[in-house]
Amino acid sequence: MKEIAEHVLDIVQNSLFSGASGVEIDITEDLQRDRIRVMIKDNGCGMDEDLLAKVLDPFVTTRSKRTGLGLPLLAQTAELANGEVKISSQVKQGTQVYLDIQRSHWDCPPLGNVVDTVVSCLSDHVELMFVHRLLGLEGGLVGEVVLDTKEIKEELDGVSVSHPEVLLFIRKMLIQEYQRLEGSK
Amino acid sequence: MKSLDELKVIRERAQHALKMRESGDGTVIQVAMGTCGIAAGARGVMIALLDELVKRERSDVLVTQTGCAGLCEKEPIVTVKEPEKSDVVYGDVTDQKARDIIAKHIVNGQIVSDYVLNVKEA
Repeated sequence: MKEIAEHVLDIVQNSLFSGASGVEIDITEDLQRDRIRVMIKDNGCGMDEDLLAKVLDPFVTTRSKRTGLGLPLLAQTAELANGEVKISSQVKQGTQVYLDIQRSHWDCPPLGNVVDTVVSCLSDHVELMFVHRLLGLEGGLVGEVVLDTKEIKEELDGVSVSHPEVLLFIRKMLIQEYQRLEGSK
Repeated sequence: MKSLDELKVIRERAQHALKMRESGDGTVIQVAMGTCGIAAGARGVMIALLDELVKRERSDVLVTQTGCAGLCEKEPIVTVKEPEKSDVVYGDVTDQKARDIIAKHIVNGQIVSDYVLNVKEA
């Protein structure tokens, strides 16, 4: 994976295939501590302790035709860039994946195209709560991008969030929000 | 608020289209989004498909995602599923090929044989 955003999309795919109807993506860029923290939380079927213990091993998968490389690749990325991956899960409750990585590290991949990752996640009718916040050199909140599909659904009055025009509308909106966030850096 | 007004226009257009076509013609385009697909560029392919559908006023077609198709070396893989027709699986799809698939297959009804990986009989 070339970008953290691609890892995020890959982890969300796991959530979707675990039957999650709701996913939270929380990204924090912390300039003061020089860290990028990503949390992905779902309400899918979760994992038992046995599976959780080996989920970072390559080629471990519960589905046919899957490579079982998504989480091991994420763990490798974290290890290379002075970071870590933590996973917690409860059967029938959901799973939480947490990545903490050194932002300025030589081996830290770029955050990448977060907007297209979010739009791709939405093509599967999932309820998504997305937050990307930027903490400045003083530690305070400098800016944030927030997307809550519940709010958008209310406005859509029965039209699906996965409708192509709606997805492109969300994409356009997020691009504008990110331009604002970039401006505040 | 401009963006909210824009969303309302989209909603009204989509609701009108749904009434006209019942619930669309039932065509679904699936993009394989396994780890291999994502690493090969499936995300960009999905955005190109959406963009071309909207440009060509075929927003009734649903673009959705599926897991690894088991042919990782041929990713990104896109499958066009039309009612009462064979599923057509396209491999090594790029953003440009995705746009060609919309223009030729979805709009003009012609399978893009150069990109076909497999045709699954209905």
